Amino acid sequence: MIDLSLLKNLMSGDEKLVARFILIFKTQVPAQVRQLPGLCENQEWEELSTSFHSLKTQFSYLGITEFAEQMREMEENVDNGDTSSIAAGISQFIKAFDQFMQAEFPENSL
Amino acid sequence: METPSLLLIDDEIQYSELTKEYLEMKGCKVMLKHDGQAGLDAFKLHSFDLCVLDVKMPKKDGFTLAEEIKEINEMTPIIFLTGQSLKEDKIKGLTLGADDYLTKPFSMEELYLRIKAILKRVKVQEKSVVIDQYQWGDSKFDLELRELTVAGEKIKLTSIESKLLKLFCDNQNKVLTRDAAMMGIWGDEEHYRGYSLNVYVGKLRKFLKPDSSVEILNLHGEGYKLVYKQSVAG
Repeated sequence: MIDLSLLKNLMSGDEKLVARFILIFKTQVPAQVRQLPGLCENQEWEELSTSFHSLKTQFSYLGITEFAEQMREMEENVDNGDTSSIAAGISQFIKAFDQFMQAEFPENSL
Repeated sequence: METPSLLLIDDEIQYSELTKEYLEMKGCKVMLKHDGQAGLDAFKLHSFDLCVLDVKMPKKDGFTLAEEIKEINEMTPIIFLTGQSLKEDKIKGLTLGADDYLTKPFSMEELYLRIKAILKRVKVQEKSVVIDQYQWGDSKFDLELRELTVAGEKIKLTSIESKLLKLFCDNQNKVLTRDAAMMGIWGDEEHYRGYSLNVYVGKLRKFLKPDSSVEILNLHGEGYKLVYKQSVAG
């Protein structure tokens, strides 16, 4: 699911930058994802929008377009005040994200 | 290209470090800040050749920050980085005077090349706006012809007189130190030039005497000041 060739291209072929990007992704993204349900429950919409925005970018760098698109949609909904389906969207996303992490980074699975 | 000094403002703390490192590897000097307000504070305190701004940031978004930067220095080139690819955002960014716009995910190399291209363009523009004519009241100074016209009378200036008058015109109503004048004319600050400088200042005073709107003042221990009532740049 991860498109490493895209990341390598974006990092101008610098292997060190690629490795550091992956490391940051592996540590930062799962923590951000775990915060999403709480932010939604507490109706912290600005924080939630910022988290979706950040996750969207990180998924984009790895070519994970499906997740990036889900983040974009939820960010847009929150920004437009349409929060009715966000909790369900987050729940569905987390299931898929956990599967993704187990497949791509089994040593790092949640 | 001289070492470009960049201000990078992005709230993605860890990833923006990678961007900073890449640009530094390419020979840029980069100051990194993680929110709009910290970025503005840095801009006020330091001098930058170009700013790279994320759009969605805490405390102050990139668009607001760009407006405030342009209020301080309209000429500062700005590149926006954003995760948003909405056409309206792009238009808004460019309307605010941004020089370029990159959508995340962006290639590090592309960012560097765009920075390089903008700085090259800015340098060319700076060169093309060199002023070579000055005017005040009924008097004018043509640097290329080395000709000063005062009260209708044309005076041919020597190369040194022209250089000195240009320095005065470029520093209108500001102190022109003796060292700066000597550097500007002879390219050194040798003290033996001091007497010559006095002579040339005296000659310019004499040439300009018929024009009461302009005067070259002696500032003891500092240098000189060309004072006139209206702007002379033409």
